[in-house]
Amino acid sequence: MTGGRRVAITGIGAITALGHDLASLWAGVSHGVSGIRPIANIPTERLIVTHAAEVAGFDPAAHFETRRLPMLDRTSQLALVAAREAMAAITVDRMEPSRAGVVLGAAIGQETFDSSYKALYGENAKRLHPMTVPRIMPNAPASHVSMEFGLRGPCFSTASACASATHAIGLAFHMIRAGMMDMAVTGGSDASIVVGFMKAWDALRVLSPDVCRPFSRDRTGLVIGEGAAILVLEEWRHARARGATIHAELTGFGMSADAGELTAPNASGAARAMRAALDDAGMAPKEVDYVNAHGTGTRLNDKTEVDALGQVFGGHLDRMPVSSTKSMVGHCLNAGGAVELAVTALALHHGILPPTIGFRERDPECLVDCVPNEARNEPIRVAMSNSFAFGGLNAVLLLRRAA
Amino acid sequence: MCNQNGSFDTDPRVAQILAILAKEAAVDRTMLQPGATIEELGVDSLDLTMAVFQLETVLDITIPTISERAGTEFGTVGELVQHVIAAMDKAERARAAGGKAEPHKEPAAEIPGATE
Repeated sequence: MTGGRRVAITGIGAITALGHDLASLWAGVSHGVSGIRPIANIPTERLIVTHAAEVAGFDPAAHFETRRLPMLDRTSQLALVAAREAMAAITVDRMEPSRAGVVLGAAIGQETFDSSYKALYGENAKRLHPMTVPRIMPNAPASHVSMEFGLRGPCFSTASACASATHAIGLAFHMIRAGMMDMAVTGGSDASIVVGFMKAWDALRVLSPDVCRPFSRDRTGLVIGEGAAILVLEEWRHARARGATIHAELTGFGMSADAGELTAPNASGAARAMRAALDDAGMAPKEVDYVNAHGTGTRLNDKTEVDALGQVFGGHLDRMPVSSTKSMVGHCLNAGGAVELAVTALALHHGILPPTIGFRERDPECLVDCVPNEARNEPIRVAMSNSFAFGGLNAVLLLRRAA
Repeated sequence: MCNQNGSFDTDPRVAQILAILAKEAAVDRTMLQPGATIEELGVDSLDLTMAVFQLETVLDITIPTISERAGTEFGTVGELVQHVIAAMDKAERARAAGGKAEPHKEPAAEIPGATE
């Protein structure tokens, strides 16, 4: 029961390893550029894996006043920079502020955590900065976005690890469709490239030492990325009435839990989320023209995801391209689903499929057309974006070209 | 050294405290009179917390929390100054007694970009 309300994407902003705005993200992914480099922002002597997709050359002082900076972990800084870009064309004071909300993927302030505990345990500091708690809290990015733009409707953060941003966008979409708000700023941010957390990833033994090659037979694992992507969702008629640019239409959202293993992916759980998204949109599998995969580049994820795609799409998978943006921007964890949805929306808009780079050899265990190494011109109408998280939490979004 | 109440006009430590407070809370130094309330100075709880942190760091003291008034500990500038002076006196006594004196050279847990 949707009351006929449709949901448009009317603003997008991004800051990633490929640059500090959406244009540089799109320029990078549509030209197959890798943002994965040797880590430069933190000491790496104690790390096994020393490559990541870092946001380079980011100067917080260029974006925030001196007095505000102590309140902002890097996670919130990245969220605000992307939100400003997404909101650039939107005048909030022309709408009822309580009808506009914020739903972001939950992301703790890792830089603050890491530096504070290093000071406390490593350097025997007597006291911690009073902003330590509000900088670390996982709702901080959402709160800062609501404060900066005066959005007074529902505001919260969703926690589902690598699916957090996708759950956030899906919930914002459903809440607008259900009439609970007319506009939402949604997406996610993540800045987890700190020594303690990277060391913890080392211990999981899933990181690639250098390159992320999803779907390639010689793939070696995932690469951690950082960044933010923020989308403005708006009720369709509301967007049309103010003459907004509509980048794409959100048509479906599906969720599921594997209720299986903590870290191993599960094909039937992933397939259930994809089917739920199709059902939500009232679409048949054969209507989908392109899938932006979760595609982490680990042996198990890619094989399982292709299994799941086979369960849902059957023979249609032979004709449907499936690519992984993570090969270029890394795995942006809590922000991953947002960065990838932004790319998927632009793929629809431009009729260009972003490639999976680093691909060298077909893997008989995951035979898909992964748009290897070079972008492809292909006018597409409907696209799916997948996120499958640790903890067995799956979230899938469906987009349609604006029309 | 100084009387416990920290005579506002003569104790040099008061000037140091007020200078820190003025800077951290972005309040004109001349407004910081003993009877001025924190509220009427327009200092919000966040700024006050930052100022207290800065006082602790710069003066190398621990300002004890007044638990029963947590969040609204200091009504006036005078109360705050008195509290800080008491903490400084206590730290001084501890140092004079030796043994338990707190080491002087310790890094405060700074967050990147947290101070100017």
